[in-house]
Amino acid sequence: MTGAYPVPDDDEERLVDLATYAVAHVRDPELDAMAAAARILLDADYGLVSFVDRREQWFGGRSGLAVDGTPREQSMCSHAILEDDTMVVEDASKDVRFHDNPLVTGDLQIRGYAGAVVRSTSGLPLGTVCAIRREPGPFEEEDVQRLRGLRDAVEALLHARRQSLLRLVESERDHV
Amino acid sequence: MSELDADGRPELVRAAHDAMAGDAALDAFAEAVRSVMGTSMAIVSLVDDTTQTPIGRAGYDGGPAPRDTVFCTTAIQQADMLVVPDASQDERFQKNPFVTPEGGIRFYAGAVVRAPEGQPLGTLCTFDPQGQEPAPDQLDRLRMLRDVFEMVLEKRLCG
Repeated sequence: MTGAYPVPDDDEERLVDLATYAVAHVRDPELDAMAAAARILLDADYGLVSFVDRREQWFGGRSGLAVDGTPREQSMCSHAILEDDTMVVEDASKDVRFHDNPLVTGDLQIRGYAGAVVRSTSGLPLGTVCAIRREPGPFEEEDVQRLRGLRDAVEALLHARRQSLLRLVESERDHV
Repeated sequence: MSELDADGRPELVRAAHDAMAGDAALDAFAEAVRSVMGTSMAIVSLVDDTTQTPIGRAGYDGGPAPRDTVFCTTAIQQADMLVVPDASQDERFQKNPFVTPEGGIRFYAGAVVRAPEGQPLGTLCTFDPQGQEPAPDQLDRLRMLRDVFEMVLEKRLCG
């Protein structure tokens, strides 16, 4: 499965939606704070807010690691966005989808993963807020519930910011 | 003892300090506040019975300050937040030592950070030499950051 990743049926539509959030290549201080919260709330080593783009995933917010993104085929989040709500992996090194992933076999040493799907206002998956551990093991339901709460906050922030962006574009247009 | 400190609040503030000190998340939250509000400085601040201590910073190098000189002490006595568009026009702050010098503070916005039991511990706050009127959605985003920060603090305090 190396080099392959699942593509949702509505991927094109999803990517159009994602583009309106203007998150590619952008690191965002608000999302960094959310990523730090994910790391702490789930007793994790890394926290991320990841957006799954056509060929890459962008870390709009990150905590505990210094990587801006990865190719989509290395992205655990690109699997998570196929789920309705959350994806939990107890040990990525023993999961056929991820065992030979460089993020798992390499220095980042990813084992435990819990991600909650972040959606656009029209309900399409944009990415995840996720917490990642270097040690394998289960995530408590209480932890996953906290992650859902954080996801709701991330969505609210993204939607509010997109709203102000759209207002700005409209007022520029009125001036032309 | 001030009414503000009647319920063991200073001890809770010190516990919050010990639980959070040194975590990179603190500066991340300060940066987030600065970004949301479009200001030059933001801090995560704790206020005990004598002193305000910045525990997370963005664009601000100041150290601890006496409690009776800082905006955050007024902020933590509010239900939700304190917004001061222009401190030089606000009789509570126009003689304040952070306001009166050349280039002093004009704008302040701080959201109250509470302990799980509700006691006010400090703020997520921002300030700037330029006065400003924040938009409602900026204040909503500041509240959201505060709410998430309180979740983090509760996790660190209660495990």
